[in-house]
This record gives sequence, C-alpha cells and structure tokens, in this order.
Amino acid sequence: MTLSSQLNAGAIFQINIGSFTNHESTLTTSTFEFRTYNSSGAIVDQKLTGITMTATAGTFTTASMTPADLTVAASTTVTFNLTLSHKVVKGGTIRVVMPKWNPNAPTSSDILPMIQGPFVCGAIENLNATVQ
Amino acid sequence: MTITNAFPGSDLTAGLSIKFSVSGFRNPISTIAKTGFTISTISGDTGTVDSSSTTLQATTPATIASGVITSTNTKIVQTLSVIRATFPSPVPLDAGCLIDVQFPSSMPITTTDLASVRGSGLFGGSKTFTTIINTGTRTVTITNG
Repeated sequence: MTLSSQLNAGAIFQINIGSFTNHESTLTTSTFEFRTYNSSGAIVDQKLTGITMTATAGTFTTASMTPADLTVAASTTVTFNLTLSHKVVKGGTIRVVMPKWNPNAPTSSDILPMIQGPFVCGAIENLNATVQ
Repeated sequence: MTITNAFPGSDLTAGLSIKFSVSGFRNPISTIAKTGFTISTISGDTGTVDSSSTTLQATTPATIASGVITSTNTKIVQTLSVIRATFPSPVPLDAGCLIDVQFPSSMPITTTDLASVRGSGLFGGSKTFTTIINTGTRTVTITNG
C-alpha cells in the first residue's frame, strides 16, 4: 500500500482488508509482520513479532447422534451424522467429548463413562473405512 | 474419544456430510435427552475447525426384569393388609427420583386405604415415604419428600 500523504511519528492508522480468509483452525497463527518503507524502498519501521490472530471454531451445519436401540441404559451402537461447515485438511481427526453416564452417583469412583468396552468405530459415509 | 485415520488421503470439504458409528455405548439412564456431548473436527495443526454440542436420547424406558408383590400379614379377602413390593432397578436412580405403583383395575387404591409406605434400598436407609395417590389412574407415587 502506498501512502498519498505523510504520516507523522506517533500517528495511529488503521487498514481494513476486505475478503480476508481467517486461519483454517482455532490454532493461533504465527506472527504477521508490519513494515513501513520510504519512497526509496528502505525500511523505516518494522514489527516482526507478537502480531497474531486466533479464529473461533465454526459450528457444524448439522450434528446428531442416534442410538440403534432406543431403550434406556441399553448397550448399543450410536450413529454420528455431521455436516461440515468448514473444510478439514487431510490427516485431521474427529473428537467426541462425552458426559459421564451417571454423574450423580454418590461415590465418585462409581461414576461410569458413556462408552463401555469393547467399542468399535466404523465409517459409514465419506470417511476412510479403517477409522480408529 | 478421538477418531484418527478417518481421512488420510484427501481433505473433507465444506458442506460434506460424514457419518460413522461407535459401538459399546451406554444409553442414558432416563428418557430425558442427555446433554454434554461435544463433537469437533480437528485440523492437522491441532486447532479446532467446527464444533457443536448435541444430545443423545433414549425414548423407551428400561424394563424392570422382575417384580413381586406379597401380602405380609393377612391374605383374607376384602381385608386391609400390608403388601410388600420388591423389584431390582436395572439402572442407577438419581436423588429425587419417584416411584409409581399402578394398581390393577380389580383392586383400585383409595385415598383412605393407604396408611403408610416404608421401604429400604432406595433413598437411603429404611424410612417412611411421602405418597401421592391418584385414584383416576390407580397410581401411588412414592417420593422421598
């Protein structure tokens, strides 16, 4: 960007860049670098560290879990159905955080996970057949 | 639960529907939708891409496998008696739960017949419970209150 008029030392300026695509995930970016140059192309000021951006996660267009057996407390197979809002690059993973099965048990050691082994994860649609 | 090796060969594009199954799940302990599930896609750089919370609901009550009702003092017809109901609970019962006992139409409960209800194995030690009688549905609701 080329300035059309002089900026004095200490001046604060703001640049709005349209159609900027945020980072592909919530991981904080490495630093952006700002430099100013004089009309001869020599660097006047620069900031090369600490300018980062952190995007927030998107939400799935749809996300559902459906048990094969609808009976309370049954051991069953659950089908996860997701529609992605944003691209995920190959090699990524899918994470499911689950609540405890009986979180109100009077003794914490009696609280059980929602998954009881052995469990098997199987791909049904648009995933590699050997998901783990 | 983290699922790896799900798409090693190509990107998953925006708008794509994906589906997978997981066996070995315990359904929730009641017919109320269970909250607290969070599903996320994680990029190779370990940052989150999409994330949503969802619920899991079991809509069919579990079956009490066995139950017995016996008269513990007298079995003489048309006589008020003490009856004992015994049953195993197939699932954990949270504090504050209720028990409904529906009487058969041939032996309806009345608000004056029921003197008291005591029990053990639920709500802590043996104690007298509060009851609510619905003669229309012939149901006694037993609470800890």
